[in-house]
Amino acid sequence: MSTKALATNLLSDAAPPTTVPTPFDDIASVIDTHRPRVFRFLLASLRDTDLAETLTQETFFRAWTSRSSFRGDCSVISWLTRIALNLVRDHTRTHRFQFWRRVSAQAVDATEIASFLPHPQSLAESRLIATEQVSLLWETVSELSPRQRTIFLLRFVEEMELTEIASATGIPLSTVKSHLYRALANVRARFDQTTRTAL
Amino acid sequence: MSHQNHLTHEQLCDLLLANSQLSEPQAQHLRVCSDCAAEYASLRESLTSFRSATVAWASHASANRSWSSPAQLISTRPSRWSSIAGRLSAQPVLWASAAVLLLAATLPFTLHRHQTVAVAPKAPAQVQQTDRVGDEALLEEVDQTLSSSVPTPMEPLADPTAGRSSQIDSTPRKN
Repeated sequence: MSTKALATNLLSDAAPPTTVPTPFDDIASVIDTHRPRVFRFLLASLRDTDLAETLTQETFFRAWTSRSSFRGDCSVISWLTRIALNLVRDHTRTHRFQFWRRVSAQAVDATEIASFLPHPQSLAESRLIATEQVSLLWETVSELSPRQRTIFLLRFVEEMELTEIASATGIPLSTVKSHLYRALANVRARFDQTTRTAL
Repeated sequence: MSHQNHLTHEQLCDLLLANSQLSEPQAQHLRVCSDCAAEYASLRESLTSFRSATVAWASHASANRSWSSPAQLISTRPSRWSSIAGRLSAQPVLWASAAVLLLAATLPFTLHRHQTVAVAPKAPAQVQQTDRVGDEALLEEVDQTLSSSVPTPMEPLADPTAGRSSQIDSTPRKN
């Protein structure tokens, strides 16, 4: 081996490992693009604006610090959702008794969420029906199991594909479907019960 | 799929989960079965309204937050508890309750400690006084024993007949 070749080999051994560029290198762009969605998901899951804001910021901070582990085998939003889900799980584990949520002045009830329903030109009657439906769904979602609630929100609020939900949650596709079936069964049962009560 | 057989729950869910085109047999059923069509329309409408309300609410909430800039975000770790601590500091009733609970919890321990401290010095003093008297008596006894010329075990036994011998001698024997 020539001296030049040996020197090249030594230099290549001593060089630091090259870092693969990731979308998270431009964290400002990632935050700008995905923060509304991450915040919305956390807000719908936790129903606490302060906590949702804090966990949103922590989601992007963790994405930045662990960006080297992003392999690109899923979309950016799936990866961010996975981080956000872990944060929600950690939070609910350490606050099993929900004390902090009870004392929160930011907790939102069904009537408040229904007031955000956009219905600029609808009739008063249809507006009333829609408000009632949203309130019912809001209450029903709060009574779902944490996993069912997560999958329900990812599908029907974030409009993620089932495969994308499976990737973000790490749950098999068939189980994701089963959770959605059960969640929708609860919704239908609640609607039926309300209809019977009204009659 | 006949008109009499309604859609199963799974079939209805599959319709709701379908993004674009409905499968032809199920779409055909919805055209002829008013019950299933009404239920499907009601659920679809409710889910759409729920999404619209949630998105509007989140947009409104997001606009009212003071978000850190990306540079601030990656330079300082966001504290998860800062907002919770801020909320708690605005709850004087909670702080007062916590103080009362803390006082109630520590009061029995404080009283118990005072009682123990008050009683504790007396007991050793009594024990020391008793021990001192006992020790002095024992030492005195030992001194007396040592100072005697003949140890007590070596002293001659007292004559058990000392009192009666004179009477015997004084009585003349007659045979």
